[in-house]
Amino acid sequence: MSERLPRRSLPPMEHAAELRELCRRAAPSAAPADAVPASVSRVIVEVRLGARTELVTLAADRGRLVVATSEPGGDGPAARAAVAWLAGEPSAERPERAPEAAAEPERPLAERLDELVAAVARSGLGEEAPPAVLDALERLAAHHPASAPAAARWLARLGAALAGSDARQTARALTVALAPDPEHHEPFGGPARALSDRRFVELGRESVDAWGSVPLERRVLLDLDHGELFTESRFGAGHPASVGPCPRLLELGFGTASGALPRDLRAQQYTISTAIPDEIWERVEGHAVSMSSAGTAALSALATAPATSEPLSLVHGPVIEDGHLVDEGGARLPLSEEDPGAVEVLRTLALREPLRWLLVRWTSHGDSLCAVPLAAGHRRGKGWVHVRLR
Amino acid sequence: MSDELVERLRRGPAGDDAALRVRLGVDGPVDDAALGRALVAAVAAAPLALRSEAGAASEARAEPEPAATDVRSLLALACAGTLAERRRSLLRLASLLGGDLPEEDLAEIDEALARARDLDAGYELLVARRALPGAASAEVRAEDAAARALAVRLEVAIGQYWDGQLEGEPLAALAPEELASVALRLREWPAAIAGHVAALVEGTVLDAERRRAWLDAFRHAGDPRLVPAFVTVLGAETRPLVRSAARALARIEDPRVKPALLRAYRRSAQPDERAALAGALGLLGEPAGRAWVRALLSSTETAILEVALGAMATLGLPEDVDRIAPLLAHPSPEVRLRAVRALGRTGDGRALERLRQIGGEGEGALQAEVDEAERVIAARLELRGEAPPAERSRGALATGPRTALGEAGGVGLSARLRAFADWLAGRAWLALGARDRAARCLERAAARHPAWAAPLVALAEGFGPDESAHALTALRRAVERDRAWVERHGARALARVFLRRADESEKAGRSEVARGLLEEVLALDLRRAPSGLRFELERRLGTLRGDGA
Repeated sequence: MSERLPRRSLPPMEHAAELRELCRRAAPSAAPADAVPASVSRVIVEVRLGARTELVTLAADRGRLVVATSEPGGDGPAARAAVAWLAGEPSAERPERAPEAAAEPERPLAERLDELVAAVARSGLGEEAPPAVLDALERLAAHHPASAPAAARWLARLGAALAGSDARQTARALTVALAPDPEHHEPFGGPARALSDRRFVELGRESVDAWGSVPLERRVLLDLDHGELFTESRFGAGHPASVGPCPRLLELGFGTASGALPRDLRAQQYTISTAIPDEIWERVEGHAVSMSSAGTAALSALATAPATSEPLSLVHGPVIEDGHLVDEGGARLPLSEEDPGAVEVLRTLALREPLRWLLVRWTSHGDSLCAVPLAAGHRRGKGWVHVRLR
Repeated sequence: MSDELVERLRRGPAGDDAALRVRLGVDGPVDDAALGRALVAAVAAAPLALRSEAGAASEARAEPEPAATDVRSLLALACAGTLAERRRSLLRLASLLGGDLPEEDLAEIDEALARARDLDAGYELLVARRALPGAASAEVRAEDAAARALAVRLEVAIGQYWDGQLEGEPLAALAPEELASVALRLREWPAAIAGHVAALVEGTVLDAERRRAWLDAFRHAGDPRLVPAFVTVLGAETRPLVRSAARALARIEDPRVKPALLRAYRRSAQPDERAALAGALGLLGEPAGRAWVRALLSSTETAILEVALGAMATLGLPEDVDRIAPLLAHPSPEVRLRAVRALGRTGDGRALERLRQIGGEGEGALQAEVDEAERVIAARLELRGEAPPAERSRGALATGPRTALGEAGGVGLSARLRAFADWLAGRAWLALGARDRAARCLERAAARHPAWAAPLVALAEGFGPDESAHALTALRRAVERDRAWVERHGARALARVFLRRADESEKAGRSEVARGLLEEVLALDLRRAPSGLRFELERRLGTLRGDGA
């Protein structure tokens, strides 16, 4: 699991004068002897206009004042109040009266996403996510509750990318904001297709970060007839999933699947069995692909849905060399550092027994692809052994 | 160009940057959101590469073998080493037992294994006991045979349960001794059974309370197949579940455990949860939480002191003696007990002095902990080549045999001999299965010799599984007569009968009665009871108290 985004809360700023006075009291009388020389180059001010809140960024650029604001029009009362406050003018402490002092009105998802993108554009990512960006993210999450697993997972991944100042990952996650009507697309919406009379075997299970305090439990199921890998998400009590241990056979009577590759399954009528005959394991091995074709498919899935896709592959048993998966054809791909313990277990296992198949989740590290191992299969005597790695 | 755009996104592209707009193909001045969207689209469009870069670091790690090879040092390590050392030493002893050892070494190992009550190394103890020659391992072999039959039965039942053919969950239907056997031998058993345990703990079918009960039941199983499920609980759940998961994980030797515990420790903010995580890390030799736990030792809250001392039992160093020792005088018995345990793990001679000061005052469970702590410290001192401080002044252990048949005062010799004859007859009838006659003889023996506990213990052992209430009465009478003798010779009966009765009470919905029974028996010195039974008693009590301790 990657680190969760640290939550912050900014101090309440009811009155600019109070804030200025608090700063005066908190400021040290003299700089400590070992202090690094510091100069303020950019100020972000949150201005309340009745029930509305706007962010104003003020910066000095080669002798010129640069003002950027989240309010429509670019030069409204919020920008003027912020400039006045920084200049020390008393008018800053008389914010313009808003017509209605009620709760913040609902705004469409597209506007919230725009607000987030604008905050990133104004503040950048810095060494750690700036408060204005985190605020925009929190507001987005608060007004569009991440009750659906896909949305909760997307928010957590975006939060982690922001916290880690990972510009590439942040950009991929923010492509959600490029859709004309995001509420109808992943991760906030999208069509679900019915599935019936399918047979799956659950190969792996992992717990991944989701927005909020509850992680997402994700199972990986292989469609034994078509070879497609599905996920099944279990996310809190309100989103129950099918029961049973891993591995298991799941005979689906009826269910739905939605989302970007891999598709997320919701089993509504099903039976399960924990006894998995050898011929099923042989079919699992039969669906494994070479590492290079798995990597190519993963790249394609990530290009199609960069914000939400977390591709999975079932690959022919590779060997492990210096933190890399190496297959018979010579393809060589790095293992992710996301879970070093799982990598170590895999390495030890591969030294002891030749792997017959390996289930991986693909993730990006910088600008290249790497694999998170989830489960492996090998033979012992005449039987099959399934090893869950996460 | 792509790197430049990435850098612009990192710095924030806002402002009137005509060059950037041209690069992004944006016409004319636009607002920050539009500029941001254009930049996001450009950076996200950069393709990922299928190329090899530095992969995940993976260091080759050899299994640490104990440095010592002589029997005496291995026995000292098995008593006073870290958990990994204790386990390795026991396995090494098992392999030595397969060779040609001198008689005196065999006798020493046999005695040490019979005395050992290390729940954390329960499986390795089992392996070592199996390797004992001849009759010494007969009991273990008999238990193994019963366990194999249980495993076959259980595997079938588990399959039926998930197929929907069986309504009741199969592990819940087991007797306490059987459950202890499952936990002890799980590592050797089929994957279907381990997978079932993992599914129960992960919790698609059970509530949090029962999941925690299962976590506690399998705390000492040490099966790496359970790691993914326990790690899932560690990241996802409420504090009691996290505490139980941390304790169970720390007892599994697996490379996934330490990173998971460290991650959870860094995230945790609650003192009880954090202390449990720090203690779990300490069991793995990771000192990350030591300074934080030390600070808790100055707390005035009993609950905080309890969790801190629990963690110090794995994190304590010789320099912690002066921090822990004052807590031996704390008014809470639980704090005193945990302080004794933590002092034992410091392995410091000064701790021995402090323990001896309270040793003579201790009774039952506290005295047992004091004795165990002294044994551990003595073994550590021996491993370090140090001499222990001068021997204690008090004569015998408080738990030592105080009363024997021949030394009972106030009963004439002929009465004692007749009591002995009745006791012998009672044992004989028991062996023949004539329980009523046996009961009459044993009651008569008990009546003839009012200070003698042996007939009552034999009487308790003679009652069947459905007569645990009667057995309980007999044992209480025996403890009243001669507690030390019963602790020494009847510990197995005590543990079994009280556990069975508590189980019956709990199933009948009388949890308070069950809890009282467990507290009563655990206040006695049960070191001579089988470790599986003792663990099950502690686990049940922890579950009923709701603290998982």
